[in-house]
Amino acid sequence: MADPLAASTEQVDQAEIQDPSTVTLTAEDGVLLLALEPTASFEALREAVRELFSSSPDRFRGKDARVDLATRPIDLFDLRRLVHVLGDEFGVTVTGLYCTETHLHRYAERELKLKVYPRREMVELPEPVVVEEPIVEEPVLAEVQVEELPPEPKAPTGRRSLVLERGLRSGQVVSFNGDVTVFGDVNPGAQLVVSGNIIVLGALKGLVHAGSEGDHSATVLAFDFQPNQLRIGRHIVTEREALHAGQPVKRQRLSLSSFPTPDLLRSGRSVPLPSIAWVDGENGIQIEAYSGRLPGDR
Amino acid sequence: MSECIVITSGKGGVGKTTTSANLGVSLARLGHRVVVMDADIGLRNLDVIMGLENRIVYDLVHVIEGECRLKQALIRDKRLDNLYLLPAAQTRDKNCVTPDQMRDLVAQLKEEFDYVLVDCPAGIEQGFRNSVAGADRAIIVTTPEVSAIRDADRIIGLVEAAELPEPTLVINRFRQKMVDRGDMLDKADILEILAIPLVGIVPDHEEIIVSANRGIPVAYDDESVVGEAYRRVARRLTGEPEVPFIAEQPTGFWSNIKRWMGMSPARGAV
Repeated sequence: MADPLAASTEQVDQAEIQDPSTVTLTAEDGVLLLALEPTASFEALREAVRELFSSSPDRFRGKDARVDLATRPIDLFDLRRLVHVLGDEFGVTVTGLYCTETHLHRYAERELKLKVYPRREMVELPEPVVVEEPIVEEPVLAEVQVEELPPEPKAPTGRRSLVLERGLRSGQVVSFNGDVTVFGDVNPGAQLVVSGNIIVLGALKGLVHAGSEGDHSATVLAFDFQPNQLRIGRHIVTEREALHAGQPVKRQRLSLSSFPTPDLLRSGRSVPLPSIAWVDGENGIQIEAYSGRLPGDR
Repeated sequence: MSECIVITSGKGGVGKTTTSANLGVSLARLGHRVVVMDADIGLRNLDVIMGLENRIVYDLVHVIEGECRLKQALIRDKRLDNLYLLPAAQTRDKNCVTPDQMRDLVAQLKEEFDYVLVDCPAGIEQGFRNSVAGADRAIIVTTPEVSAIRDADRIIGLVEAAELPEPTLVINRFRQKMVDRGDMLDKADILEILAIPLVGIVPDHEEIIVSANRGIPVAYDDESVVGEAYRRVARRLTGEPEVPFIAEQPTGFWSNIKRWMGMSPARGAV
């Protein structure tokens, strides 16, 4: 661009202010552009910025600025500190960021309210043919496309959770990426396929698959534990006997499921016992009475 | 205030049609104007059970296709003037009727009758969708078998999805002796799974087969335990509070003696 400063900046009368090693300050149409040397340490950069601005503290007050990090890796906290130094000490509002580090983009946009430009293309534009054109647009910024960011997950830092306020009947299927809590029974013929943990506050008699994406730390907990099939990650159990090898079941009540409740078989009538299923390494799926904590050595 | 009740089960052969016929008779005997509609197009049975097979001239499909007026297709019961049958077509199939048409038909019937009972076909396809279309509520019929209960559970989910109020349950073909031996699921086991209000337990008895073959619903027979069970379902449906379930018939030595001596009223013990 041909002399971008002359027309539009009053206060920035120098085309370029440069700290010897680390920071380059330019201005485009009244917006400061602060380019940071890619290899210097953050501390050095910050001091260089301070030095640069404190030479005439009020000169840039009220101006907007964009920070160009180019390919420089910078951590989130350093970026935040830099923004605050400029804002609090010199009254310069950082509005934009040029940065190739994609992990910074979301943070910069959401937390620091910066407009992020994935890269700053220093395209040499052809000279405008019509010289009389009075206003020179800001072609560099206008033409740089901000790359589409992936949609925000609802809770980016935590797991997703689903609460079903009623049970599942035969033929009903729920698939969910996260943990699921069911207030009600999961009946025979119903299916619950979940990437995380499953908690059934009722009778579990259908098919459940916890850790469906391969998470073997997933657990299944139910007040009345009688699934007709149980899967955790890649493990699967279909017969109660396989789960209770060595524990003779005294008398099996006529049941709608092949899983009578683990213990407490009294007078042929089983008493519901909250139980938990988990994967014990090579031993596969274990089911035991829920004792108030996660089983195993976790 | 008239009401349309669909009688459904999911599984076939659990007694939907028998229940429809007997509830129709029982409600009519209580003095209500009742029509029972056979929605099992292509596999009609309700007319046979009610003994009205020979009187069919027009059927439900004729009405919907405008070939006759609704009143021409309604068949009055042999014994009760306030009980009518709207038969299904035998030569067509379920797809020749749409849920909207059924809704309109039910609305017309509700202008004339206190109760419109719809005998739903087995399955969850078009016939089921047609049957629930105009219904205000549903009665689920099941037997104490795992497969029937599984299907009933599925149907309850579909009835709820159709935004009908919570359905009620009739347990059919119940055998107390088998339950006592531990060979049949008890009422409590069934209700634990299905978790809907119970409106009737109908004992299993061979007189059901006899009555079906003769075309005389058992609910006409004042001495029949099965008939009494259906009449009690009807009383509960009309909102009569606290109708007791049929007492589990004592089957011990002394109760048998009493029955021989005529001290125990109902014949046809469970």
